[in-house]
Amino acid sequence: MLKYILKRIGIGVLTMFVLITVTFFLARLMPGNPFETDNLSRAVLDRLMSEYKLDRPLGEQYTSFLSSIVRGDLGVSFKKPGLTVNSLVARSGRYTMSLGLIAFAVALLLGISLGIWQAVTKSGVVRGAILTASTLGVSVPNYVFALLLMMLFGVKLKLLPVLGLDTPAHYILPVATLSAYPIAVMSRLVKNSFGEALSQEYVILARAKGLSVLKIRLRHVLKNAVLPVITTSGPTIAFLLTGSFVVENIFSVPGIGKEFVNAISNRDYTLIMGLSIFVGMLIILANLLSDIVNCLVDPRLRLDT
Amino acid sequence: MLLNIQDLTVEFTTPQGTVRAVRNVDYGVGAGEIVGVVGESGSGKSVGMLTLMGLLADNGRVPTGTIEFDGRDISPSGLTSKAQRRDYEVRMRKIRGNEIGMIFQDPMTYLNPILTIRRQMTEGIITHTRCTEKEAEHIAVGLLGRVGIPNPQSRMRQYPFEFSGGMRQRIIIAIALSLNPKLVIADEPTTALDVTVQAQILEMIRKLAREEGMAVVLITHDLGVVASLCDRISIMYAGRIVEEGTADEIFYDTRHPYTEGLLGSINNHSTDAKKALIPIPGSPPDLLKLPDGCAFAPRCARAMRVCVGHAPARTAFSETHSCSCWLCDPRANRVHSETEVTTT
Amino acid sequence: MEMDMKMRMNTNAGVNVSMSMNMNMDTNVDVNMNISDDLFLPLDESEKDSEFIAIESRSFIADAARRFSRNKLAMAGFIVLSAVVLLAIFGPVFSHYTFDGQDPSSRNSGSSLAHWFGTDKFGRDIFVRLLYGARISLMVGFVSAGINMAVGIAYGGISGYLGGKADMLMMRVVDIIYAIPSLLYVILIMLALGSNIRSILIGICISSWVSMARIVRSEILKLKTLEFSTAAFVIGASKARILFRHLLINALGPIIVTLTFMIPQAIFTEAFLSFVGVGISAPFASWGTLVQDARAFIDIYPMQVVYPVLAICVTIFSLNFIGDGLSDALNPKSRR
Repeated sequence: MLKYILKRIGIGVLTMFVLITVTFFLARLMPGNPFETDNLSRAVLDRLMSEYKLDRPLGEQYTSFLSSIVRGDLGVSFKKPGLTVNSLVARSGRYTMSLGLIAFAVALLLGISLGIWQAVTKSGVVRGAILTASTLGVSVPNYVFALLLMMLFGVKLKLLPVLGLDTPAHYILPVATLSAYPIAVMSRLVKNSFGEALSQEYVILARAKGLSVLKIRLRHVLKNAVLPVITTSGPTIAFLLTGSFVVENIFSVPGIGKEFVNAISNRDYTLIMGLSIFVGMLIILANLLSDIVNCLVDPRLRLDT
Repeated sequence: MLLNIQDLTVEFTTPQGTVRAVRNVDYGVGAGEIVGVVGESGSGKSVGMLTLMGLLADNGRVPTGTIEFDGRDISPSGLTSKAQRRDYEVRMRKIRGNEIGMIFQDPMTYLNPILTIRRQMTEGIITHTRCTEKEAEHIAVGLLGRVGIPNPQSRMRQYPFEFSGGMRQRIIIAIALSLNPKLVIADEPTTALDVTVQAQILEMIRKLAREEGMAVVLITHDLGVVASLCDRISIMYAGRIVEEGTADEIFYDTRHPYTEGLLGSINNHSTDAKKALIPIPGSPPDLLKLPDGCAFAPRCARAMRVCVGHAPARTAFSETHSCSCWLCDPRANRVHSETEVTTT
Repeated sequence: MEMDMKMRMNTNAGVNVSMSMNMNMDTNVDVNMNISDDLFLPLDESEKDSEFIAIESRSFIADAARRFSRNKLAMAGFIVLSAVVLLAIFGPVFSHYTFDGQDPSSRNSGSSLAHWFGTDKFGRDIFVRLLYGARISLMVGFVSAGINMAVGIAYGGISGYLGGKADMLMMRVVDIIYAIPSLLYVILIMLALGSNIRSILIGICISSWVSMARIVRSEILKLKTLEFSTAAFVIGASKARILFRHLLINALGPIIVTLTFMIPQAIFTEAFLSFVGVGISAPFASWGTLVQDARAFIDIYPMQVVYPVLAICVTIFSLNFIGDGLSDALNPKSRR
């Protein structure tokens, strides 16, 4: 087990290294000088270039970039003097985190229960309804969904607030938008895995022991059925974080996603780099965490070396 | 009689039509008896036993039949209302694992891969006896020791994948025997195991059953397995019992051509090494399209015209020995001797 | 059944007539009375059919096609998608509008005979822009799926077939690419290489082939252990032959299913990029950019958002139904 976890951590570290390297060199490929639009004099430009170490050889730039990230410094904004990526993350991170975690919890809860319902129900109507809803959920891009919800509940019915994140009611529409896709994916997954686990022979043995159907479903079937959910929770968190780019913009939530999109439209390359690396690391950590949980639940993985 | 089955029919609804897996079977097991049920796959032997346990798949139905176990009616037929079905399920739950234990065929798939042996051993005990986890664990350790698993205490913490096939089958047997049931149904308990382990497992089942006075129904496709073990043997073909008798009657006074065929296809190393194996030609019948007459007729070397259109009646030869075959009809011999048939 | 039996009887010359009269007697209680002695004559071999095959055999592909065509949702998806593809290819040819032709005299007009879906803020015909958008969105979807398939099959196939150290190394690379969120790469690549279709394709393909590679590899590993690949080796088939003929053909089901789900994924990604502001740049338009452009006026001209949104949803809907239908049809477990 320890070996498995260490291996996962090793891959995680390697992945972060690749992420940082790729980000750095892609940023160097981006066209233009970050200051060229600012109509600065030659002297000021040179001073800025040396301040941001852009006049040094590429290798040196890379190593200093790498070492500052290892120290936990994600860099500074080129466009907004004095603004560091770290301070930005500290300021806007909590919005993204709270939205993401709530959406994740909602997705787990609803996704798993809808999946189970679909797997055990004998009613064709229920099965068909959930199937259609989940197909809709994976077919509608989240910004389309966000726009629809906003038009319907915010503009037409005026039931729910649509801008900002001030009251609990403000959370409803963004969370609904963010969790729609994961709910659909998870319910499909659980429907299949639960159905598959139900037909396994260990269920017959459990029944032959005289256990009640409910106990069998909770202890024998559900535990096996959630294994794939644990595996997908890493990618789900990735989806929620990148989904925040869209949702935070539409609902004007001052989170990391909104900052990221602003940075892109400003072509604030260092900010883009810093935020990419931050979001990327969160996702890599989430993957690592889901691997470890998976290993705790499924003893067979501990054999894997 | 500990178990008394009358006129049991089991059907499955499939997209191709209705499969009649068990057809009007009468069957009984006495207390403490060890009996064998032999037949090819699809002959209905396992389905019959699953029906007895109330563990049929969702598409299974029981149109006719009564089952009596230990003086109580546990018939799964005629359950029309929801309340009746619930009542049946509640009754069966008290019997399953407690009074009837079941040993399954494939030790690889009948244990839950992600639960510890401890959990899987104790959950049944706790359900039926209301004892504490600790007490149940104590019982389970004792059981594992009895079925021959070394270091049972420490192995309780392990998972199924950490055991060999033979060891897993011992665990499944321990689970089936854990509450000293009155009846143990062993469904092909050794088919998935190595030959060397097979004999050990069978001997263990026999010994434990005798010690505790449990009745055992041993389901198998291998006549050789039941030969030394069972008091009585029933031969099933296409959902019917075609011949029944004591081991001696089945082996030395064989009546049904299908039983003969089974005997011919046993690989008997000890007696006659030169004797070639004689396979039964053809394959088991399609249960969707069972013929009106004897289901074995298409594969039977001694089939007669009557076999095609008419189901044979049961003919009794002794208290214990009976056979359902037209060859047992007195007219068969007469006509045969008159016309000097060349086929054997 | 009964008919069947009678016909078989009739082929045999010596059948007693009384017998077919007794045919209907199913019970075995008192039939003995009605059975004449000559029924106890042995049965000819010709009257048996012990070797008959119980289930008619069909080829796997034919069977899958039959099951797919019976799936109403999947067939509906197939028809709709075909219609969208045909419209995207041939639609613009029959229209006298172009995707960038501006008409200042009719801006933001509603639906009319001249402009079926109205015009946008520059007076461009929305219907025609949708058709051109379909070309871009569908091309991104199909081309990236094709590249993914080629790369994924080659990589996963080789990795799974080689096994051992090479496999381990190749899979570590896959693990790493898989763990980095692809949308981040894509954004960075779009910024570095410019907002055009080529960069979108590079961005999407650089990471999404890994899931195909994983699937192919695990299929290959599964199939490698089966007897038939050993059998193929024993009869002298070459290594490459075994890999491509036997293994890949057997893994076709999961590959096709993954592919159908990759196309909507790519269309999603492209739409996302447009939203974030690094999508295809004007005057070209994908469905994603059409939505994005019209979003600012959603209060005044909601229909300008609705048309491209519908186009995206209907297409992805169809693709998902096709994918579901294929996975049911190609899954041997669901064979009935």
